[in-house]
Amino acid sequence: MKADPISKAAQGIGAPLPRREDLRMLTGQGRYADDYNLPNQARGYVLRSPVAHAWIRGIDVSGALDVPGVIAVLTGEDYVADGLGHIPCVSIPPTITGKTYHKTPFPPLESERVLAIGSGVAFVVAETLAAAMDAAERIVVDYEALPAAPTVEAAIADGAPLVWPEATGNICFHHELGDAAATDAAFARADKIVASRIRSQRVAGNPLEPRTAIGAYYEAEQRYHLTSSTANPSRVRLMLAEHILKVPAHCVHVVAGDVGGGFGTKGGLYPEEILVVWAARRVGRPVKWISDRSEAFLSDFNGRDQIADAELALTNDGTVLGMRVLVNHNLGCQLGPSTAHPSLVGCRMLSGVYAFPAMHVSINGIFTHSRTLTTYRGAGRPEATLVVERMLDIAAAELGIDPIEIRRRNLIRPEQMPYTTAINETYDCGEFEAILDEGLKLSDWDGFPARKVASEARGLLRGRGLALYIEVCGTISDRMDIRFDATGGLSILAGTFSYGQGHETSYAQMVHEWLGVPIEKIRFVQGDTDKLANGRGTFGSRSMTIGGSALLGACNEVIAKGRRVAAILLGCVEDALEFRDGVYRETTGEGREITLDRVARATYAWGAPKPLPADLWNGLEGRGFFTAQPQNYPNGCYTAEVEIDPETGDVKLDRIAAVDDVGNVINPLVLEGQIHGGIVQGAGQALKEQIIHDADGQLLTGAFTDYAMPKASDFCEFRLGMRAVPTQTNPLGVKGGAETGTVGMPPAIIAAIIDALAPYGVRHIDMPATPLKVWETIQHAKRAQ
Amino acid sequence: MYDFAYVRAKSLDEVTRLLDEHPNARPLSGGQTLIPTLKQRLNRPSMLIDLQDIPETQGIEVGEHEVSVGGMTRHADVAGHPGIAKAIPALALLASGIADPQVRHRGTIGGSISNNDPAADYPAAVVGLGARVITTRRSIEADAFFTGLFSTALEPGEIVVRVIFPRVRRAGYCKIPNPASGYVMAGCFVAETHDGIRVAVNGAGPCVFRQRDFETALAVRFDAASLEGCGQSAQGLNADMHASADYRAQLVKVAAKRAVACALRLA
Repeated sequence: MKADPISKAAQGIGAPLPRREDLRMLTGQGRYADDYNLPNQARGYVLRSPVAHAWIRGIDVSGALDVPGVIAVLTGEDYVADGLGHIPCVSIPPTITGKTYHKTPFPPLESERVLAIGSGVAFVVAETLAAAMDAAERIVVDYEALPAAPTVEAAIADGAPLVWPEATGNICFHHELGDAAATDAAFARADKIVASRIRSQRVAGNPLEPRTAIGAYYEAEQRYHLTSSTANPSRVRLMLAEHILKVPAHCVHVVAGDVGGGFGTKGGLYPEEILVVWAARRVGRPVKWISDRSEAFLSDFNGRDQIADAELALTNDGTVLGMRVLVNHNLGCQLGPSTAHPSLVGCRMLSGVYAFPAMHVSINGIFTHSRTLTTYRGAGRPEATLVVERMLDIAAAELGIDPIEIRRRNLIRPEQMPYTTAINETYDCGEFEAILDEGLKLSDWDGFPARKVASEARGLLRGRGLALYIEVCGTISDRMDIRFDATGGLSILAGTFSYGQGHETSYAQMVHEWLGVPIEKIRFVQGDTDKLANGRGTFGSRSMTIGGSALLGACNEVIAKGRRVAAILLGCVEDALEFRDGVYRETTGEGREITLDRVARATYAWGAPKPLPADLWNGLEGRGFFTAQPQNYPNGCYTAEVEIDPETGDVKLDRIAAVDDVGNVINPLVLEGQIHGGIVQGAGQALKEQIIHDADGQLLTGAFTDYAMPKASDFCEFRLGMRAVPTQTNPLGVKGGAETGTVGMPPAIIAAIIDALAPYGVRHIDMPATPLKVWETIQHAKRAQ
Repeated sequence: MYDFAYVRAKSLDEVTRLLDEHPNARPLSGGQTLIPTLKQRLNRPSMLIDLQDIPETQGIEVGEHEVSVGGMTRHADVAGHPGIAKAIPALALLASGIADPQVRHRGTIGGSISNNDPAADYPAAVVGLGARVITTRRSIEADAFFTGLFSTALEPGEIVVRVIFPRVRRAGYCKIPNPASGYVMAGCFVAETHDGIRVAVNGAGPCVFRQRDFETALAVRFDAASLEGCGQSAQGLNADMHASADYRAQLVKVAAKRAVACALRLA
């Protein structure tokens, strides 16, 4: 038996293999939640509150029930009567807050009080969407309007209207990091103290595919079904079963097909996912709900929204002695599953890549009369990075030190690794000065003066900005299974969930690398809770680290089991066999060999060449697990150059360069795509995007005509560089690579804008730096001069 | 969207009769404003009367002195018309920059000017060039056609049939787009016509208007520098989260200078 050698270079780990899923998605053959319909399916429509804060004095649904085609009109009282539960918050570990925080009731429909614009007050089920909408118009809700505090600034003001009367000052939780006394001491001996308020504005995730849910209940099986555009089917099933329906999890089946983006905002349990399964059981028919874009603006959980009051204590040479930060982070009106995550995780990164000897961080989670906030690509790390990098730039300006120089002075050195920051985060590795130098080189930092002259000749201001970032990736554990079929094909059953991250390709490359199975024979299965034993989904750049490492474990188990089979088939001892490139070879004696393909087929064969033990004669499969403990710390250097038209305030991105250390790279093409997307979303945050409420809590940015999204025409070419310092914290040496752009890009762009405006004496501008804001900043500075 | 009847009219007489018989009927041209408002249930016509088959509203004719554009002409057809590119290049340029390709292939000049959205492009060209609007009943001069926010001189049941643009010595257009929607936040169409300078400002106020100070300055010398001494008052200009009235006033001047530069480039 001789096997053909397998060439892995073209398709294995590190190869720029084009995404296998793209053929399906780019030719209209993707299957998204809205592409599914169940027999006898009805349509659901949510009637939403037109006011942010009000008592509900009454809901009269009688007129709605008369509309032809209406099947049911459900209210919050019906929900309470059915004894179902509330959306849980699972992002405030008792270990962090000392168990003291205000829990919020979070039913899918409100019956007593609405707390945000767009909260659901009734769910209409009808034969058609038009009938459901007609009926919704005939529901009479008696609102008694109350004053609202829709923003953090409004909610923390004296005498602010309270979202939850028991939560004094609208504070849900308070948490502290670092050493207050040591930090006070550092400030007491500082040559210079700089202070600033740094805001990360509220943004919408705006995935291309709006949320969609189809619920069904199978009476005979007493089983619920949900097809959803969720980014985390296993988590949704667990929450539905445990917290909402209060049934064993096997009584709930959740399926997600292709999902068109989520950026963290689709990862929890949403009210509408509850409504469709609840209504389906009530009416005895499947119920489908689809969000349109306007409804998405009202009902999707948003991201970011933090005000940080930061202070740096420095010596005159720019050495930071201490940092003090008070963070007020918006939670919205009710706690969703991941609502507390951005503030609690993000603040762990407030030391950045710097050796700040003393730090004290206070975090307040703040309730506001606005939609729930949640994780959004980066989830707290962009906010933290903006604070650190802005504060260093402000300090550099005040001390008259070059912004690069002040960073060099405070960087953590490779020889200090592993390094534990003053807020107790331990970075395992990283070469920050080297990555800074590469970033300067890639951006042609030194060529800036000539470009500035050229811009000025055209009447434009030019500025450059740089940011160093570090983030933390890879949360908890996951499980990956691989299973051969009887003809040598292989399925990967993933506990993670790809909704744009390219897992179908990256995981296949790994299996190809480790098992030598041709890419074409590898199938990818995810998102169906009946097919997976457990899964934790994809968020926080965890999948290559945890899914990939678990997949390695699964492959190793296959190799070990296959070795036993191979030894039996070849008639040799297991120890005599080595496995490489898909082939077991005898290292001694006759050098006999057998392919894994033949081994796998033999485990299924009705009449195997030789009888196999029962545990090897029923198919070949492997199971792998991995827990990221400790986590990993991707880092990098982002630079931006902008041209500003002083007549209009328009900011044009002219050069963007990014050098990332995301450890070893599985697929550079997929990684570059992730970085491109992150840069674009980061630039969107820096320049364009913002969810705005008026003082009454009305949403002013409820459509793309008012909510500015970044567009292809806004961008220049991106120069990307990789400088891997592989981590030892997982067997692949990978670090998270999906959020680098949203973390690193905004402070670099803001720094570039401020650099361009330096001739006017401008030292600060809030995001988003819209043309109006830039122009007004210039006018204000001119008047001040 | 609420239910409505749909009629594809074959003649202007039929349109007039249907509008007369059905007070809640609405004519449908390109539908790029009307259809979204229907989808949002913000409008509830009993009937939509589709104008796309009406012969008089079709086609572009480029004459020695005038360019006649049928009311149902799509933006993309104006943008891509070789005769217009030669006769009034600024008009083709303006049409090529309206919204996105999908809208440009559905939206019509008649629909745009009848709607008179303050942030629309076409009203600036109609006023800037001093066009005449031919309706089912009469001919209306550009300066009299646009009467205010989303309002025109059109009477109930009166439909735009054609727009007649005079050929001019030179013309240019510049708009500063809204960062979110791409609609005009402030724009300016300038033209040196055979009867003098015309400057039309769109996007900035509730309705397109002529900027007489700019016209006077440009009459002395048709050059962006001529506008340096001029000012645009913020009084009465629109203000929203994307642009204050002061900022719009500034943008009007910027757009005017750039429109002049555009005219000099296109000439």
